[in-house]
Amino acid sequence: MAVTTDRAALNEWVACGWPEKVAPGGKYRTVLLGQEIEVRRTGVNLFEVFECDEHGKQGRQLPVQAKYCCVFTTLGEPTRPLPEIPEFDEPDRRITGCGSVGVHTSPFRIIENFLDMAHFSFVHTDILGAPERTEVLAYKTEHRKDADEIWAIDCQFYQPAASKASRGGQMTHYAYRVMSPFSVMLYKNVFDDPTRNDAICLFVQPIGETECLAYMPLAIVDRESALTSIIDFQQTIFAQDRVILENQRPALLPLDPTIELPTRADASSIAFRRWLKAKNFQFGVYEKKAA
Amino acid sequence: MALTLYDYSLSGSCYKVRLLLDFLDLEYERHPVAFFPEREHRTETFRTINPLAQIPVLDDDGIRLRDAQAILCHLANKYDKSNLWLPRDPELFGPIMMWVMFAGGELMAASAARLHDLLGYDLDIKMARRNAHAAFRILDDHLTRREIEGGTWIVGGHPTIADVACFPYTALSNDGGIGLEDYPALRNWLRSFMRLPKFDAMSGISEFA
Amino acid sequence: MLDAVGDLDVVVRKIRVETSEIRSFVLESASGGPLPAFEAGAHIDVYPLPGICRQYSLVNDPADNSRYVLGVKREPNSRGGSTAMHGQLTEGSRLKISRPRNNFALRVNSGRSLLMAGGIGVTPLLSMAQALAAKRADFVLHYFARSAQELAFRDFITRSPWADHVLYHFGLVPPVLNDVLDEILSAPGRDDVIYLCGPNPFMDVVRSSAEQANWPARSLVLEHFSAEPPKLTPGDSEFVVRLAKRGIELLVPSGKTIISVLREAGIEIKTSCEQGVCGTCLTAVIDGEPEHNDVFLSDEERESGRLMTPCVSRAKSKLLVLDL
Repeated sequence: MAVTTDRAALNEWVACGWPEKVAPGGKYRTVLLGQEIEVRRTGVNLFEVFECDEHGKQGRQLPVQAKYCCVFTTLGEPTRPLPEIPEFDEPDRRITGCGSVGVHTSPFRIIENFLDMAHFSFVHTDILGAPERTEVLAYKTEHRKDADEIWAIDCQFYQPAASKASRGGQMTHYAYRVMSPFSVMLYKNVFDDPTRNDAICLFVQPIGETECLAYMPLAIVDRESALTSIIDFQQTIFAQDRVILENQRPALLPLDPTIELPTRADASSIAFRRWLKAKNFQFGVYEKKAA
Repeated sequence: MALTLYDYSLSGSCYKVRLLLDFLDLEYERHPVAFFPEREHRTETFRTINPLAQIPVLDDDGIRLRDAQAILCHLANKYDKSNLWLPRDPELFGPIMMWVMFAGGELMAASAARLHDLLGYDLDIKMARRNAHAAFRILDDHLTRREIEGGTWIVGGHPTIADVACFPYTALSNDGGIGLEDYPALRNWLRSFMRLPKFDAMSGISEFA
Repeated sequence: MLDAVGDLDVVVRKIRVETSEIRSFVLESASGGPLPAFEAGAHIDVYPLPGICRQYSLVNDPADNSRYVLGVKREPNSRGGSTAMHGQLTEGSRLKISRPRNNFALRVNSGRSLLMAGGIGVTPLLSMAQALAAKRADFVLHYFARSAQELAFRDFITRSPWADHVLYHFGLVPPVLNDVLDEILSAPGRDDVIYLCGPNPFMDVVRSSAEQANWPARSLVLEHFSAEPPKLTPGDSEFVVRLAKRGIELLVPSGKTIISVLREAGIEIKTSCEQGVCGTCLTAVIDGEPEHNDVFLSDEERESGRLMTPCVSRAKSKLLVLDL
């Protein structure tokens, strides 16, 4: 696998593991944008990351940050810091990662699926959507220039079991936030408490253009459920998405809006694709071959 | 009677047991095991429940059983009053057990491929997929012969624990990057299985198999 | 005593030839005394002949309401407005005008003010320059003209106390124009504002340069010369679409989309979703106010009024001029 030359992709912080993936003193190898790297856990929350050359020998050392239940590194010169997600500092929240899940598709397909509400009733039937209530109500998308993030706000969807804490159906209110081309999160109101939001992140490690690892750190308000059940819920949902994702063709994301016809429910996906296009992203993007 | 299943939602082996519990209308308590990423099944505490450090484990009024295939046999033997899921008919019992063992043996290559792709297990993925294909070939050939005979199920005229045991990792083959394009009889059988009353698809099983 | 509302009667006190194409007009109240006060950036409607109405910006210092000063360029393709002004009016002529209105007002800001003038577009910016100078504000007037001979109000500027706030740029066309603009607009400061007035192509280049330098859209204040009124007369529930490149007008009734009206006229533009989602039919708006019904444009693009998706969006104004 060749290392990408796409600076836009190289200059992002990307997840490359979670802190407990190996015991302190341990190390592992993984691949980022085609580049093999070695992650070493030198202390409980201390990490070092190195590139590996083509013979597997240690190359240059890369920057590293452990935050939001993930380990982040970058192969380039990031133009933005890691996003601020203050929910991870709130003491009464349940904070956990869910490990990583491998997905064979473009990182942007994974981000788009996370942004999409239209599939809830069909893919997460009786959990995140009901078969008889499939309508995606109008919502608003915006490009927040100060942080260079894409937001979709005023989203709502009827959910039979919105979270592990749910004891019945509710109209769930969502806000989606794309923090970088490889990271996205959502805020959804807590069951029975419209004043608080669960924060659910999705960080994508692009191994190659159509091979990824997905990390799902959570900062949620739920005093009752066991952590095991909370993670189990999240993994169940993601495994349902994974089948759909791996069957989507083309695996690479087309930025030309005439290749995949959008509907009004896809406004967030359109905003995301415009944003990627404006960044001149080449990695993970579908180019229509000339006939 | 009190049944407790040490369970993990994404485990195909646990799913075998959940399927039969549902088919037999049995109430049970679910004890979730933090299989990934915590690896709770590898802890000393869990090893007192199953020294092999594997799930599922079924506790039936103090009888503690490991191995999905053994659990299927136990449940059918004890609770299936109809005797349809594990008939004692000498023509059927042996073949059923043979395919149950196949599910816990050769077919587990498909589970290995899935653990690699889904949860990042470090193993020889090429070998796992090759072995899974070899197992699917054998099952597809068998089901083709069954189709010619007019049969739908692996053994006999009613689904048995052989079908329950073989279903999950066949239906989940996509999760391990294994396509079933070359196994038409296998795909027919999967579709028949998914139409069974009380069937519940687990995450990763695509409806368009 | 002047009416609080309604038109004003004025006398042309002085006409001055500024350039081969531009004349300035000094207007005073026909009844003597002051004219209604105005703010920098304001314009008036002028009725040089019955049935002809033109908008012109006021050039003079807003502190001086003893007179109104206008700059008028003779437009070769004019349908009568500027020709009437140039040809019919002489010193001493009487004229009807409206009261001043302002939709190009100065902002209250703490940063710099960059006044970007293209040709005759300098007129409202001159009045702004005087108001800014009186406030001792930090401002620069960038005056773009074809040549030094085409510079209107040159003496007026050079004799003003703020003459050193004015920089001249002559004969620039793309790509040199773009480079010069990129340099002027680089490094937007906190609360800086750009005031922009000139021909549409000039304004487009300035806008895109500002966008590239990451000027926030709200820091761009602009006025463009209004289009000629439509030749077709739209009914209550209709509006007129003028296709600027083709020079044709079409009526859009309430039950039809712009693209379906275009199609009936044999004009195909590229569309895809036709739901206002994909942005394939994105079209530049030259004049008029679009009514956006899409979900494609960002808020800033929407507010700028310069782009629209004609598959679902319509017009709030009776005339919509599209770059088609």
